[in-house]
Amino acid sequence: MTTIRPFTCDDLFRFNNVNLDPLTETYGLPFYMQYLAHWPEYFQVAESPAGQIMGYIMGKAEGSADLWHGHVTALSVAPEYRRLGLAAKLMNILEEISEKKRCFFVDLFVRVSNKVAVDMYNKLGYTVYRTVLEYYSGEVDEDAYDMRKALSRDTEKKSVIPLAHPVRPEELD
Amino acid sequence: MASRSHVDVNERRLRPIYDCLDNGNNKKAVQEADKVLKKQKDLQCAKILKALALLRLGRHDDSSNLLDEVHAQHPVDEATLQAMCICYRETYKLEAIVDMYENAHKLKPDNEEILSALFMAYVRMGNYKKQQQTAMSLHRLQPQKNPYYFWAIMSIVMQSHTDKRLAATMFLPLADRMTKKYVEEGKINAEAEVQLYLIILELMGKYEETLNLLKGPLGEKLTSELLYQETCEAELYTKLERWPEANAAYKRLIKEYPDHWINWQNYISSCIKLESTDWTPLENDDSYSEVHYTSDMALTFIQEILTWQADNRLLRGPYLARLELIKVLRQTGSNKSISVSALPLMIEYYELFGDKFCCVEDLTIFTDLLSEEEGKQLIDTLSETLDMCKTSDITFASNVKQMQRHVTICKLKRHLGIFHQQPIEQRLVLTKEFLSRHQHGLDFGKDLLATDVQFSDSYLLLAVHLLVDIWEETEDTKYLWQGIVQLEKGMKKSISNFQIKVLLMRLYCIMGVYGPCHTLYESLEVKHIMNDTLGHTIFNHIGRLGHFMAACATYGSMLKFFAVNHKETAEYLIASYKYGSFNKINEFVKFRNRLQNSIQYISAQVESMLLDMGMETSKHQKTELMVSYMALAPDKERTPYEDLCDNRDLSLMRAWACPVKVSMQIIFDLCNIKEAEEYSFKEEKAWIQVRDLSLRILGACVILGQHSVGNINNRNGVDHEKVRPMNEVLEDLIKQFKDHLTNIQDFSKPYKVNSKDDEQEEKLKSCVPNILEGLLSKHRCSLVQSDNDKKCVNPKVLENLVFLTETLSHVVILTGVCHRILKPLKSSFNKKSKKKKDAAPVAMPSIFENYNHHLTSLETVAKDLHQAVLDIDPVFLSIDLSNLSLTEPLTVDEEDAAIEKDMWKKVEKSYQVSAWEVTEFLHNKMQYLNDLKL
Repeated sequence: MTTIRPFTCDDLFRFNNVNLDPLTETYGLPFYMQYLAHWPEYFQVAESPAGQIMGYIMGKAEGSADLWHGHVTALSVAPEYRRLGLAAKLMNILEEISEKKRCFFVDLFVRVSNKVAVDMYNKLGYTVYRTVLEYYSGEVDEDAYDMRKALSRDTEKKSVIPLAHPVRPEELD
Repeated sequence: MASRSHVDVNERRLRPIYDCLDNGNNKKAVQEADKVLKKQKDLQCAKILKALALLRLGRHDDSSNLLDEVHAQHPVDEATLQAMCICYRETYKLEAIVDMYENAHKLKPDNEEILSALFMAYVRMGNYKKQQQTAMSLHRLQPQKNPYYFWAIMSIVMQSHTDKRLAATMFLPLADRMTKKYVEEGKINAEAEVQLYLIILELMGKYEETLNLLKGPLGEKLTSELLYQETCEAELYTKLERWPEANAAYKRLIKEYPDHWINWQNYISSCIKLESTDWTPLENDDSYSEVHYTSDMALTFIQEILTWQADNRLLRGPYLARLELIKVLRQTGSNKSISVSALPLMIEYYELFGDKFCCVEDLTIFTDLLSEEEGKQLIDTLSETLDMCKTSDITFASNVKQMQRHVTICKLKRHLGIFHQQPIEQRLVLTKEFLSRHQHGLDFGKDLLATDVQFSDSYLLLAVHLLVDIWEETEDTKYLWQGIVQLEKGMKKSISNFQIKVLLMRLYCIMGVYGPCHTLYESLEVKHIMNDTLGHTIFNHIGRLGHFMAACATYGSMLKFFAVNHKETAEYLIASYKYGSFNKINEFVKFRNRLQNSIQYISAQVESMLLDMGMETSKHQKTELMVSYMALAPDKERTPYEDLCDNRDLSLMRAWACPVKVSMQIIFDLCNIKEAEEYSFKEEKAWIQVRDLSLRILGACVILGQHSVGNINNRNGVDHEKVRPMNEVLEDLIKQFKDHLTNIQDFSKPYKVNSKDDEQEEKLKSCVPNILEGLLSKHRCSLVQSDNDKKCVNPKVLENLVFLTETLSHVVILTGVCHRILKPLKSSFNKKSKKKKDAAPVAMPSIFENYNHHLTSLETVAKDLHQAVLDIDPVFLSIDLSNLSLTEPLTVDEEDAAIEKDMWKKVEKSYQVSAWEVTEFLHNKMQYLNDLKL
């Protein structure tokens, strides 16, 4: 039991129990507002019946021609609301919206070390399209998987054929 | 062709400057710009790019000279305008952007880009009227481009938000008419345009029309959000109180998403509404065949959904919907009864979801439905399902799920107040049990990553909350120290658990120990908006506990966030117009106001100024400089107190406390958080008013001192408007202050802002140093107190001495003001008496002597206070806190003993820092006083 609704600015005041998780980044206000202004339908929040924020997904649609795709920028669920299938639900919404926008695929980046997340995305039908070297900077830089799932418009599933070689962040389009 | 190639040449020449700017090489950018300007000394764009580079190098004056020069030439070339716009945005001179584009527009009235940039300039300023006019000019210029027309309409809608009276009579009808015109002419072609129409109709309360719009051809354009039309329709029926339709609409939505909670709530409430009015569909009318109009029908529907979903992942929604049904029936006072009752439903819910973390939260929404007896029954029945609960010895869980089930029961017990009824000894036994369960449960989490939270942490938190309860009842601090030890220990094993950290910070602060909190706070990576929502966890303690340096840094980063955010977020208002996200525009405006009026913001401003006034001043001249540097305007209210917003996130900490027990306690919990939040906010507002008025009174006095010696030119940066005489301002402020202190009597208990014992009232009549001395002797005591052979730390001493120190600092500044006024008087007196050699010697007015007496007494108090502060430094006194048996260990455990020793070190260090910083502060004040001799 969860209410999923569009994320609003006021939710920024209450998303601490999600964002204090060490793997969830808190961005500057412009970042969130850019998404809210440009792709409001891709920014959804899940709320518990007691009014707590359980998690949220933030994404966008971009790319031209057959690279037109939905992108998951952030997906996070607070520790206490995990193992309820909430992330899958939020991903599902993003995919449906991308379908409606006639996207060819949905993609996302995930830390190679974040096994829980990688496994979950696998279960949801995402496969590693390529590895991006040292995509996450920190004390030790870390590689990212660029994972993809083809949508119905990509009938031949061309978008998810894995690349043979890893790429560097500056080679990303 | 010729002019085109001219542009290309310029572009080519300017390219290197742009490149340098992009790479952040501002020095080189200046050089490149100079090169170009050597060849073309009037090239505006080169000048502006140079100005931008200078600005980024911090050479503000040089930069603004160049900018002003070009600005006065009224440039129209796009590249120049854009670069100027960047300069003005970086310096936040939004009016200048407007002026610049207005000038350009006059010269090139048909230029669409300039006009559209002018529109954006007005958006930054929030000038809706001008926005509207400019958007209409754009529309006339490009009638075929729909967005311009709708920008104008949105600008009108925004005006309706600022003037509620004209909203209904003028703005909204106008916006409505303009949109309708496009609808009728079939010119609507984007989803955003329909969205805007929905906004207008909604604001006008025209729900019927909105429904028609949604159902008509334009409704089909609303495709971005999933099930948008369906949800909107259901909401509109609810607003129109057309319950049969609302019910059917929500029913359809539930079938689509059976776990969507708000739909369940609305479905159930519409059902009960219908039942309470005895509504039934007319015979032979099929149009309402879908409607559920009795609680029994609702129950049947819920059961139906439950059987449907039996094969899939279990959804919590339908299970809780039955409880919601009972709750709504109860709330509406309905006498209808249904065939289910809360207790068995809750038991069933636990059976299905008891191993989920959120089970407690879900159930606590409905525990009100149980009688006390049923509450006990619930716990008994649940306990019977677990083997662990059956024996009197501690049986540990055999797996994570079982453990979580046990945790759920324990939290429910706490929530139902069952622990609170037990005697303290029994609760201590329970605390120890929880601690050993926590230790045992850590085995399940051996393979967890550092970023994961340990499965058994809930036991630890429960144990510490029990200790906090016991401390509140007994006021014996040894329980808190043990709580700290246990949390420190738990944190080592579960480094990512923010619940542990937040609670730990709270407990340290209660004991007057700020030191370790700073590291904890930093490890939470509080940044950006969290400054506003989580800053309170340390903000209220850092200064009062005498950690002035850390306070400076913290206030600084907070202020930076608030200052930057307002600049940065304006651009996204613009983006919303560009992308047609009209729904977001008013949301953004409200959001920016909420941040700007945040009580955290004004607190950070006031506290940091008060701190600077105390810390940075060792001479009265410095104080005067400081006041002018701060541009203090004592007669101006920063943000009207009633407009302040409370953005603190107080729901973060989970305590599973019993709603009856939690009334005015320190740890708030979800159950009655609203009430507690409101009370706390009032308290904060009362306090900030005390602080703000103190600051303004001090400022007014300092300015008055300057004025009295003819230094009237110093108007402290506020010279545009007519300035009220400062003595009037001061009298007014003092009146406000007195009134305020009377008004906040209610809060005097928690904060003791105005302790009104007669002893002090008497002292207020006597002279100031005496009062200080009295307060000092009242509050001076040693950090470690002995009470019947029992030693304990008294955390109040530190706070009291810090406040006294601050008060002394204020008094010193006021004494400085007296000195400022008296000094010239005394010298002119001396001169006069010298001139009149022959006449009988003129007696010095007693004021000078009184002043000197005051000064000497003040110096004595300062010295005493200094000594009192030194006396709380454990290192100075060479006390080893860990050897004083200030607490009793809960367990016989080497690790605990080591952690406790470690904790005492941190505590000592923190008290030492406090004492050291406060004595430094006092040194400053003593130096200040030295300078004030007449």
